[in-house]
Amino acid sequence: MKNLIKVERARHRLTQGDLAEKVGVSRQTIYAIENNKFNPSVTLAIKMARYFKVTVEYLFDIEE
Amino acid sequence: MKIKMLPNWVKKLGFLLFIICSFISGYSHFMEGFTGQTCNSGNYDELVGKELSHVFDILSILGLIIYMFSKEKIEDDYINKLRLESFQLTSFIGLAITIIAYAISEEIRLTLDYFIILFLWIYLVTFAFKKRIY
Repeated sequence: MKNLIKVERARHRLTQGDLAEKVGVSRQTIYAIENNKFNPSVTLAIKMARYFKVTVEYLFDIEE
Repeated sequence: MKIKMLPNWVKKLGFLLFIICSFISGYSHFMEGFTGQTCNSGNYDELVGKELSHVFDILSILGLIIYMFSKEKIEDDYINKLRLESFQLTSFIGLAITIIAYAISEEIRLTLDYFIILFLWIYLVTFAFKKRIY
């Protein structure tokens, strides 16, 4: 699954630690999601989409 | 996988219990080897008896178990995943070491504490390594 977390994070000028704090997870979790080592839960995906004010489909997409 | 865990503040308590008890029990084992006397002989018996030394051994293991089953400061799905992976890897490594030891010598007789300590340490090192790798 590919995602635009890194792009959105850069757009909002946030560090991994900042974003982690905003959505209530560890910095390692953000790193793992950005590097496709971990697929977030639906709850976390929605939290991040809401924080960036985008849709979940925009933030996360399945690689064909 | 959701595991019922102890609160985060208990982690420090477990670590403290482990340090204190393993120091006392380690000192007792060290003196036993250094002086060549068993725990129940000589002046040493007055300080820490064999039974008491065993109690400290158990308490230090209990401290490690408390440390192991305490929550992280931030507990999330990824940490749970790392925990599960660490348990899995620990089981494989533990089994591999046991089989290799048995293959090398059928005569090897180990006490239970070797297996408990081995399991706990491999798990803690694996989990710490996986958590800090990023």
